[in-house]
Amino acid sequence: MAHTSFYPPSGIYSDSYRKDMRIVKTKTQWVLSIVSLIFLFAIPQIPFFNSPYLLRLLIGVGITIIICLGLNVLTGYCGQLNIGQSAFVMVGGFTSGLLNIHLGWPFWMCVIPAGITSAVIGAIFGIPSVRLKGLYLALTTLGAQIILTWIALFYIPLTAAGFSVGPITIGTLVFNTPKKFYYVAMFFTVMMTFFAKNMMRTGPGRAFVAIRDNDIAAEAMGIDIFRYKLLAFMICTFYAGVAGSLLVHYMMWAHLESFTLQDSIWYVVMVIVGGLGSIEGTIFGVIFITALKELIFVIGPMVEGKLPFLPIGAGSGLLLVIIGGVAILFLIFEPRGLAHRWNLVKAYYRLWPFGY
Amino acid sequence: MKTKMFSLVVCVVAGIIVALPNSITWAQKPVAEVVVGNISAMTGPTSGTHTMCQSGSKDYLYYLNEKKGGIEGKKGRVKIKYLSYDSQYVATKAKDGFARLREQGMIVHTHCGAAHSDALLMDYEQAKIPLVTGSQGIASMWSDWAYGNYHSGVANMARSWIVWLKRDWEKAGKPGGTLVLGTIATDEPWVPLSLWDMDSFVKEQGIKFFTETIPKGTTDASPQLLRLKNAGCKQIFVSSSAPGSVVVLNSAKAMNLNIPLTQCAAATLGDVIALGGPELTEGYQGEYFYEPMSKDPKLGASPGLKLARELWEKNHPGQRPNDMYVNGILSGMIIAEGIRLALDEVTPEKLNGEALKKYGLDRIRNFDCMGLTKPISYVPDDHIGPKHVRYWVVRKGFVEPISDWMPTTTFRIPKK
Repeated sequence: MAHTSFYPPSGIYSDSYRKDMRIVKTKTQWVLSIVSLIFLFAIPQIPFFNSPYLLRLLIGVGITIIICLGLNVLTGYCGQLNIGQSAFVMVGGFTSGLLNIHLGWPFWMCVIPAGITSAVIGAIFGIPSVRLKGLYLALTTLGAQIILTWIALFYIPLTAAGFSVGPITIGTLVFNTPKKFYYVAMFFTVMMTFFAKNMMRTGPGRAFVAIRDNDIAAEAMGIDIFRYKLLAFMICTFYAGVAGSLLVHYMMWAHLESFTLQDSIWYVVMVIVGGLGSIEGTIFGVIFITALKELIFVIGPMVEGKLPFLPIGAGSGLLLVIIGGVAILFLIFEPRGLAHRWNLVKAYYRLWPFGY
Repeated sequence: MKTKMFSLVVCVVAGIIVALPNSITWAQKPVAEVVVGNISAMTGPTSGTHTMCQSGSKDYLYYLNEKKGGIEGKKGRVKIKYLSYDSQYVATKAKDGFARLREQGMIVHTHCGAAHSDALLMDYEQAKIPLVTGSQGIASMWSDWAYGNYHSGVANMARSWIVWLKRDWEKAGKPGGTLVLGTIATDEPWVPLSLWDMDSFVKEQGIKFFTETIPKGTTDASPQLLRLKNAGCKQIFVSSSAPGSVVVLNSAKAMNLNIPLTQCAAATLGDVIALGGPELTEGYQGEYFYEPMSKDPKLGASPGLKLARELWEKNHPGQRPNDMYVNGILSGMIIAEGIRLALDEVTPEKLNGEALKKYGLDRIRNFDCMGLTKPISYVPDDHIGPKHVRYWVVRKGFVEPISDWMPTTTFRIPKK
């Protein structure tokens, strides 16, 4: 039955290529999409859901989705491993923050330059990708994490110390509370998700997949490997830059230590657990890992409270053990990630009760 | 029959007598609970110090609950409920933890300063929930809602050390004509902050100051130490956490370097002794803003240190005492003193963050912290804390003082 996840199920026929490439194919999907969007933007008004704690959590999920979408374009679709994504988030964050405090630019004028600056820096670190693959390329992106952090630490005093950043504003409306910022975060998350989904239907999207599957064959078909690999790096880091801009304006504080190698590794874990080469998978991966982290975040102190013989921090330390274990289990039992599970469930539902 | 009736009456009366005090207790109004929150990096690079700091404040406040029945002012008594979350050394998680603690009724919070907790500045200012910090980061120095009990900000560690050595050098008749000092620093994120705008300070002091850097994780600091020696440095300040300091000490030993080395407050001498052993650390100097657990027991202890040692024995039996535990106890003491003062003015029901700040923390004057540190006073625009430091030296695995308490510098990294 697994093959059904790759083809439109019985009952949906496309009589043109254009129709076959539609993101939303049926009326039911349209209705569900619209209802989901309405629910997403209504959350701050719904009792129980509108606690600042939960909204903060959802904002964090939204921003992380943007970061991981970029990473999935590069790693999942184009096959280029990047373990320095957090450094590019930092570039975007600092660019946006510095433009905001030095030139007085509002967030809306900073966010695109932040993305572009990250993309340019990303392109520089992407150049070795034309000659390097796999772990060797991963090491160059690790180099990006180290080099960019080092520059921010020793060559720019302001970024070493950290600095306050202004909140996002529209006219007199100031987005300085979780309830208000939620709308901005979700707006960007939805837009960036749509762009990523759409991008994969375009020529460059198909070129990325071709390069991932077999770069020699792709080159033989006339795909400019260097150009498209660099483009994938730029798209990935553009996403990181935009997310970085959102992050510093959300925290209203920019500091080097918010962008660590550990964060970069988390992003890779989220993409792998969700499913490489899947936009839905990215969303699932971020939500799943965030929920797991949050569970430990809340339960850890409770466990310590109930079991006083445990040393302080032992409950919280469980997080690392559990997440590491989950990553291992996923790699063994479901290497195609949550997205594949989702596709299986969808196929089963569509064919039920005739899933033969 | 009469005997049976008599026995029954005796039993009933006895039962009433036994039950009476309990029923009176039950009838009394329960003691109100106030929530003290802690958001520290229980996991991540600073977890070692942050867990100890948290343990100190928690153990002290629960000690007050158990032994004193809570904290009492003229208008009532409260007990402490201590809740904590792991910031995971991530700013957004620190914010999540703060939001959650706020929903759980937190009126004051505490932590050890780091960049992730500095990101809480806007949150606690907006929520009007004071912070009692066991270590000044950068942002807490700017806030009217933050109260420190530790060093006067990361940028004052080397500055205070320079002032101390310059004073002694001047007393000795200025040997050599110019005082030459140096620092060996790791490339950890906080180091540039500790040496922030040092050039102008050095110029102002009229001394020569050389800086060398070792990469974090290196195993040899000999070239850097040799360069400092050749520059004529009389003493060297080690701006590093404990692992880097042990590397420096090993290298110094290998090259028979006889220049005194001083550990900055980013790690305690106790941490370095635990890591490097008593032999390697013999003669190593360090700075403390409080009386440390590593103090030689033969030298006596303040009432505060005695209490700290008792609490350690009770809560961490069999473990090697940790100096940062005292730092946490100091946070607990300040929170308790603030609550006590505030309860002189407001009832427990009206005790919130604003009331605690206005009637409690802002009114702390010459609070002696049971002798653990120099008396603390908070005045408008100055919530730094003790503002005094004392230098110590390692002798046979313990530390003993080599200076009196002396005022620190109070430089603040400017708010941009």
